[in-house]
Amino acid sequence: MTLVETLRKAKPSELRRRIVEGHPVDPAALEGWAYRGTSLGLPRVVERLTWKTFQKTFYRQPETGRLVGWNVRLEQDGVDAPSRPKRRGGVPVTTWHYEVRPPDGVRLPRGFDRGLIIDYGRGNNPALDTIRLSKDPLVAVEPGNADVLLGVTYLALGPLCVETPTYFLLEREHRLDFVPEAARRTCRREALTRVERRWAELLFDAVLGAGGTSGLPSLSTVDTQAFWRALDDKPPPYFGPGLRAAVHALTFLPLTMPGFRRPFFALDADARRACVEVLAAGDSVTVKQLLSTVKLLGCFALFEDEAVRRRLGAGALPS
Amino acid sequence: MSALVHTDGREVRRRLDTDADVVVVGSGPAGATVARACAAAGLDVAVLEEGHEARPADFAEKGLEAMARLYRDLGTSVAFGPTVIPFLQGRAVGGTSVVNGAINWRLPRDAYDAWVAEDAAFADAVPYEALQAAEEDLEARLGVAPTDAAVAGPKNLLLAKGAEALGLEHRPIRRNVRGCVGLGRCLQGCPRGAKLSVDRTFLVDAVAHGARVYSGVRVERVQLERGRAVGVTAVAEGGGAVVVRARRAVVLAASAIQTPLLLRASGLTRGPAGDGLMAHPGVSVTGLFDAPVHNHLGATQGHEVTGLRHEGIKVEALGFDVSLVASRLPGVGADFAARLERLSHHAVWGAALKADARGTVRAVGGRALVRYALTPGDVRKARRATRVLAELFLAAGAREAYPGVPGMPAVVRTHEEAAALEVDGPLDARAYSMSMTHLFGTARMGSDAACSVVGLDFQHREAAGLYVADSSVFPRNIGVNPQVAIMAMAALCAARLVAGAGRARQPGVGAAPVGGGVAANSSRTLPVSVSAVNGLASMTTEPSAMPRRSNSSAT
Repeated sequence: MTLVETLRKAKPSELRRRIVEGHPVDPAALEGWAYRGTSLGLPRVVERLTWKTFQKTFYRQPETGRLVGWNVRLEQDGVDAPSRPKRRGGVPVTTWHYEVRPPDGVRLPRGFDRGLIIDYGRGNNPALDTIRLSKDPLVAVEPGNADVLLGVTYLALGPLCVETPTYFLLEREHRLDFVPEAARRTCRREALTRVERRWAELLFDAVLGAGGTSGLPSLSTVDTQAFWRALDDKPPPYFGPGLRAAVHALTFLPLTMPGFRRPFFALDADARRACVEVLAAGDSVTVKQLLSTVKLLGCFALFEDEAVRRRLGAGALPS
Repeated sequence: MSALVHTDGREVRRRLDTDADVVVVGSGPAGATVARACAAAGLDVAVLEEGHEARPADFAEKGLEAMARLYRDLGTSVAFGPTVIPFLQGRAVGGTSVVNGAINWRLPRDAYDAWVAEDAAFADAVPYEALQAAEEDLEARLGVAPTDAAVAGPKNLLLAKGAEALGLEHRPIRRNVRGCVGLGRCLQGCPRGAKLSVDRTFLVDAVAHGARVYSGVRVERVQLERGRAVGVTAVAEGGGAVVVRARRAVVLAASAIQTPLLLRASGLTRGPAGDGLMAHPGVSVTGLFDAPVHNHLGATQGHEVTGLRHEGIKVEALGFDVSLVASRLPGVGADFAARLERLSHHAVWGAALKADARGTVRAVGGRALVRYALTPGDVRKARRATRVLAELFLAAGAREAYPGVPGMPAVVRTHEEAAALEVDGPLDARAYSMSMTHLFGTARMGSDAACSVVGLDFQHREAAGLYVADSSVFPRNIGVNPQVAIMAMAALCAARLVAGAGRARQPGVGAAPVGGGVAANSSRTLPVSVSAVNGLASMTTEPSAMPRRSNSSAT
C-alpha cells in the first residue's frame, strides 16, 4: 500500500499521531505549486454535504515576501479523477485565503508545531468570516518529502485552541497557473476596522481640541494613513485588543452620562468636546488612563501632518 | 550586501545549516561585547539577531515611525500588574544601543556591594577591579565623555540650573557619541551616526575578526544533547529554518525578557528562570518656561541629577519627538489645544526609580507575558520623585509644572504646592503613568543553586556550554543606566568562555585560571583577572578589513 493509500484509510487517531510526529516542511518547496487536497477522517455524510477534494496553493507575494495561498473549489469527480476546478466567469472559484507561517508565536494545541501553519486569520478573508478563526498545522509525513503533506484544522478562539477531526492530505499536483487578485493584494491586519477608526479619530479630535476654532486641523482632514499603517503592520501583542477596548469604552461611555445619553459618534462636535471634559474631570483613574492613551495616539496621528509639525516647532534646528 | 550583516534572514527561504565555535543570541550591548571578545580571541563566532541592520540614513524623525522600525512591539511591550507599564526594547542589529539615550554609568560601588551582600561569592568571582578595568576599556572604544555644553540645549542646561538652585548634586551625562550636534534624536536613531552604538563599534570589531552577523533570524530553542548546549534552532524572516551548531558554546544575550523565555522554551525550567524581574520604572513631569526650550532638540539626554541616588531616584532630562512631548501636556479639548500652541516652551524631565518590585516573565501563546507590581515603597518613591521634578522645574525658572498624576493638582506654580504633592499625592500605583527601562535579574547569577539560574562562571546550571551574558544575570537592581555595567559583565563572561575554550587565546587571556568553560561546569567559581579582561576588552580594530568565513550552507 502506498503512503497516500495508507493515509486515506487511516483513522483520526492515527492521523493525529502523524501530525504530532510529523516533519518540518521547507516553505521554499511549496512556493509556486498547487496541491491536490483530500479530506480525511470525516463522516461520509459530511463529505457529501461539503466536498471530498479541493486544491491548496502556495504563492510568494513578490512585494512582501509573504507566502500566501488559497483554496480552489473542484468538481467532485471522485478522489482518483483529475482535478477540474469549478469556474465562474471563466476563472477558477477560489475561497479561504491564508498565509503560511512558521509555528513560532502561534497559539497551538500541544504537539502541533512540527511543520508550518496555514493561518486563515492572516488571509484576505472577509472580516466576519468564521474561517478567520481557523488554522491548519501542516507537516511532511516523511522527512524531507514535501510532495505528500498532512494537515488538520483547529479553531483559535481567544485563549482556547479547539481541535477538529478535519484532517486533509495534500499531494503536489502542478505549478500555479492562476493567481487571484485577492492573493496579489497585500494582506492587512488592521488594528481597528474602518468604522472603529472613524470613532477613534472623533475621540482624537475631541481630546486634542482639534478642528473647529483651535487652529489644529481635524484628524479627518489629516493624512493618517502612515499612522494606521504603523499600527497595522507591527501589531504588538495585547495592543490591538487594548486599543479596541479603549475606543469602544470611550465611544459608548456617554450612553451612561447624564446630558449626553448617546454614543460618542452620535454627539455633535461641541457635545463631544464637552463630553471629554466631563470625563477628564471625573474621579475614575481608569477613564483618565484611557484618555491619556487616546491623547498619546492622537498626538502621533496629528503630528503625521507636516504642516502641524512645522507650525509647532519640529522644524527648528539646534542652536 | 552590508559590510556588517553576513546573512539577512529576509532572504533565507530554505533551510540554512551552519556552525560556529560560539553562537551568540542577540546583538545588543551584551551580545556584541561577547562577539567582539571571542572573535578577537580567534574563535569563530556567529551572532543571531531578530532585528535588522539600521543605517543612519534610514532613521525616521517621527516618533511612531521610528518606534515601528526599531523597537520591539512598536515600543508598546507592557508589564501587567495593578497598572499596565510599558517598557522599551530595541529590535535591531545593535539592540537597544541603537535607540537608547547613549547614557553611560560604570557600576557604582554601592550597587556592587549590594551584590556581594546578597552573595559573598561575588567578591572573588566577579572582582570589582575586573569590572572597572573592563569598563575603562569599553568606554574608551565607545568614546564616552561628558555631554558638551555646546550641544546640550536649553532643556539640559535648565535642569542643571534647577539642581544647582536646590543644592542637589548634578552633572552632564557621560555619553557614547562622537560628532554629536544635538539633533535630539538618539531615541529614534541618530541620523548622523554620531551615537557610537554597538553596531557601529563592537560588532564592527567582531566582524573584522571574522564574526558573522545573521539578522532577521529569531532563535526558538537552544539545542541540548546530554546536558550540553550544542547549538540553536531558529526561524528566518524569509521562512527558512536556521540551525547553527555550536562547537564550543552558546551565549544568550537576548535581554532580561527574551533570554528567560528562550531558556524555558528549551526545557531549562528548573530554578528561577523568568522570576525576579527587576527594573527602573520612571515618572516624568512637564514644565512650562517663558522662553522657548525646544525639548526635542539638544543632546537627547544630556544632564542628570545624582544627588538623590541614595534614595533610589535619578533624574534625567528627556528628549524625544515633538509628538511625544505634546502628549505630555495637560488638559483636554480647547485647554490642551491652547497649551499646544506653546509646545516649544515646554520641557520634560524624568526620574528613574530603583524599584524593589520583583516581576515574572513567562511565555503565553508564544509571546512574553510580563507581570510586575510596584511595592508600596516604590509608589511612595514615585510620588516623591514627582515632587522633586516639579521643584526642579520651579527652581529652574519654570512658570508651571504639570505632574500628570490623577489625584495631584494638574498645575503646580509654587514650591509649597510642589512639596504638597508628596504629602497629598495618591499612593495608588494606577495613578502614575510610568514606563520601565533597564530590566534585570530573570536568569540570576549566584552560588546558591536554589536561587540562581547561572553559576558564577556565567554558565547555566543544567547545561554545560550555555552562557548567559546579559542583564538577566544581575542579582540586584543597580539604580543607574546599565549599558556599561552590562558590557563589563559580558566581557567577564567572554573571558571565562575564552579561557574555558582552551585555544586561540590572546596574550593576557591566559592569565585567567584555567578550568572553567564547559569542562568546569561543576566548579562554578572561576575568578578572572583584571589583565584577562583588559586583554579582551582592549582589542579594537580598524573596520577596513572584514574577513568573512563562509562555512554556511543553504540547502
